[in-house]
Amino acid sequence: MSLYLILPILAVLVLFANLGRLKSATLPIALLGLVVAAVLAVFRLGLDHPLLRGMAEFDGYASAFSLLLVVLTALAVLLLGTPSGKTDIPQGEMAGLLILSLTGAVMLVSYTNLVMLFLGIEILSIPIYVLAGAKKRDAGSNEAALKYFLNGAFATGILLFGIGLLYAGTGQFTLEGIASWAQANSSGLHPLFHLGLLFLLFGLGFKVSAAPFHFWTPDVYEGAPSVVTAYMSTTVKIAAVAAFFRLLSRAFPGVADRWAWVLILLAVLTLLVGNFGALAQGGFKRLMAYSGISHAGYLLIALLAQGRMAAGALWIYAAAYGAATMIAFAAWARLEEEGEGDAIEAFAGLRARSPFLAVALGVSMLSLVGVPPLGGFFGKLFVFGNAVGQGLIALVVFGVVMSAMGMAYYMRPVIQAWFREPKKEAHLPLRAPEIVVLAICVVALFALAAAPTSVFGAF
Amino acid sequence: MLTLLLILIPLAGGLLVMAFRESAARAISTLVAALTILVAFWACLSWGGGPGLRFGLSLAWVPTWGISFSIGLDGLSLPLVLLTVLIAPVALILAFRHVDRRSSILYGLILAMEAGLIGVFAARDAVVFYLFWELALVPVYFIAGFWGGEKRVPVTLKFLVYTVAGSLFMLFGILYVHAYTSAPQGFSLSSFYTAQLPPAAAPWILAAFAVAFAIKMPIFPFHTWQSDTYHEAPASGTILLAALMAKMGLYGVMRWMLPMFPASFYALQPVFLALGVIGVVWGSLVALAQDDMKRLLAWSSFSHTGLMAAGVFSLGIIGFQGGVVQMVAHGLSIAGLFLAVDIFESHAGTRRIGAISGIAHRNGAFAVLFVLLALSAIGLPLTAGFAGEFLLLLSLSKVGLWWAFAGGLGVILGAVLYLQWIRRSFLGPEPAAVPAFRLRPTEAGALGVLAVSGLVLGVYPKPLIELSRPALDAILQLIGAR
Repeated sequence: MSLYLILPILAVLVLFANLGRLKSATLPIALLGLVVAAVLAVFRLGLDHPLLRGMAEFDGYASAFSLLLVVLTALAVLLLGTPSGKTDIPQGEMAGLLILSLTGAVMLVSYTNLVMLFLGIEILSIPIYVLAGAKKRDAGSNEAALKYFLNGAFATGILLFGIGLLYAGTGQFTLEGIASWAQANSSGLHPLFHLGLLFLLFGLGFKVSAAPFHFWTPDVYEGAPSVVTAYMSTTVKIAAVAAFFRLLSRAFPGVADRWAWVLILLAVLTLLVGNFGALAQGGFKRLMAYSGISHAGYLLIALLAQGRMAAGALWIYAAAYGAATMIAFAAWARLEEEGEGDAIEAFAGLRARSPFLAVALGVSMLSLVGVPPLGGFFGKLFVFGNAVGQGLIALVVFGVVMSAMGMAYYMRPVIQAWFREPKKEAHLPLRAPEIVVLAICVVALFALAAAPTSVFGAF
Repeated sequence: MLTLLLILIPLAGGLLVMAFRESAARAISTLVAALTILVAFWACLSWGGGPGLRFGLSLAWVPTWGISFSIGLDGLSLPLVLLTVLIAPVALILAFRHVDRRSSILYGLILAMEAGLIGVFAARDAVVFYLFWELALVPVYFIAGFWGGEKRVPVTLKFLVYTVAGSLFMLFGILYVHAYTSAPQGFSLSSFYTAQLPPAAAPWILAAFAVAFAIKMPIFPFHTWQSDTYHEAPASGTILLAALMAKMGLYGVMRWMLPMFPASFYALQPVFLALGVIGVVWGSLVALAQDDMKRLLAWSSFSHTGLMAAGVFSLGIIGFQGGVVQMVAHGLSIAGLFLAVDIFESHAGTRRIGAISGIAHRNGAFAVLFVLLALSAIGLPLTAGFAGEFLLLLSLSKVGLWWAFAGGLGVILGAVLYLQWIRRSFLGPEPAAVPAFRLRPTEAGALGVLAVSGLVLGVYPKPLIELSRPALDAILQLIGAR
């Protein structure tokens, strides 16, 4: 129970602290609370089964993913504390909304009932509608908020419709219930069952920004404040993917032949759109948006496998993606503050202006490509390894070709940062929170190589 | 343990060096390189004779997936490790010649690449192999991209995308073979040797590995990145690429590819032989048309690599022996030649052949060293190049006389190439203003060591042949083609 309680309480506390005299203490309070939440998640304190009358189960899977989500959110909150995190909404409110959204994310990795899945998605998304528009006087930010809201509402509608159809077909809301129903009626599955499953896949496809449901992503990522984009592209995406995995592996493991081909199709399309789209971008945030889409494609491949090994592979992939993406947006937020435009060329000569930032950016991009010994490599190794084990050879070869393509665009910021001369000679000092965020992520990308075993043990 | 030291000393040293100022970094990197040489020599001294793996180390890494950090040296690894520890200091000497404010990073990258190369030659686990394979790539990309010539950015990006694409295909191959290793599944070399692939799939997986190795060497038709990259990279990077990185591919072929898919390879052997031999002739012909010294060396190197590959592809102990000898010989001579070109360029102000003639008149020592290195590259008897090329051609002739003939043609063209170069640059009339080359002691020493060790190896290649023989026999036993 405790994690579900402490996060909303923390959110409200932070929101109120912001109103009163404690304005300067909001971020420390938020961070402290998140540390406590991380500890609770790791040790699963007060999270015994059955939870919420069997609506959720805080198993190893939930524990591992909650930790990841809480840490990523904490990093985003840290970034709020720098001048580059400033928007038209007070920091405290931003932090409160982020934590509120995190509550939904935690629900998404621990649900056992489709109602909780729906609630989780809504709680995750609604604060983001506000946060995306946090720059009230900025047209792009407003556009982002509106686009995200409309698309999000549409996606949730489809998801809810899918849940309804599935209930109509099976009479079940729980994951186990659906699984055992499907097993019992494996010969004559109701058309409503298939339709409901398809709608669920599409609804979640929106949330992970899989093609062809990705159209909102570049505009929203570009318009939203960078800190919010960092949160969206890490925590929100990872929570949605984790929810997706939980759904497929718990409710529909026996009927994998019915949905696997849909997922493969989505993965191929997503990889194509993400990689070719990224090649064509001139702006860094849009590049990262398409990078996020292409990684959604790899994550969809990860969903095709089941069991402990698959969950561990998904976690490592997600953690590496999250850490690398967080670095990218933290770096971008810092440059944005200097007002150097949207283009990738803003990174020019970064090595001279801030060596640490340039190193972190290099590590981040190399990890996103999948160069060892960084976490991104191990993510790809395990995800592709599982897929090969399942005989999805053509899909893996396709994924490999797409990864090679990734080199062509992930190197663009690196080339700017390392091989081009700076346009401005001005030194780019980093503030303490930025250094902490970058350091944690860089260390994490290396540490993921050292400790995959303990990750697999956690599931 | 010794193997781990060989990797850790340059790696840790390389990271450390980057934090220092240039002068301190220079001293430390020299020390680190020297220490690595000492450890390698220590490994030689305590080698003893006979077959088997030495200085092995295996630590569980990801037991769930059967990944272990396994390294060790055998008779095939050690010569290449020795070559690496000798060439890395030459790259450092070249880096010392062009100092700028950020040189300490360059020294660090060179040492990091040294660690990656040694790791590649020592890896006994496919994931570890892949890890070092990429670790050897990233530093040289930054070296070429940062300190390279005018067109460095597009050229190095092409190089990077090319090689990473190859690596990723190999990664796919590794994962595929892993899926067919006998239980408990793993990534170790021995489990890869015994993996039972479906016969229909084996040629494709062979191709996945072959592409990665062919790009790295490179052999025809995967060589299009090479000439530009060698040309644009700074001399220190070019040496690393030509003398060492090219050997990674051939080593991978011998250690991983051939013993894993012997049956599929036999079916495709003529294709592989043809690609190698085409490279020999093609490279020599294109080199004849170059007037830039670096480009000439790049194409000549491509030609030599083709011959090495073809000899190894002929699958016999003679070809394998020739491959090992020639890898070392070529590494020594090409490193020396690139060093000489850089010295030449810094004094003459140009790399164009024929721009200045008659250098030998006033620079006797330099000319002698250069000619010695060039003769080894040609493969004149009593040089190491002869020992290697003779064995390679002999082995090719056992597969088919025409293969050897075509390979020999390339070698003859290579001789024409170098002799012409010597004639046009070193001999001939002495113009009014031939610059006098003042060699620094380190440069003279490096050139001398490279030239003399090539000679020694040519006169007396027995230790190298005896060292590598048991390991090569073991590999051939796996292939079943003695």
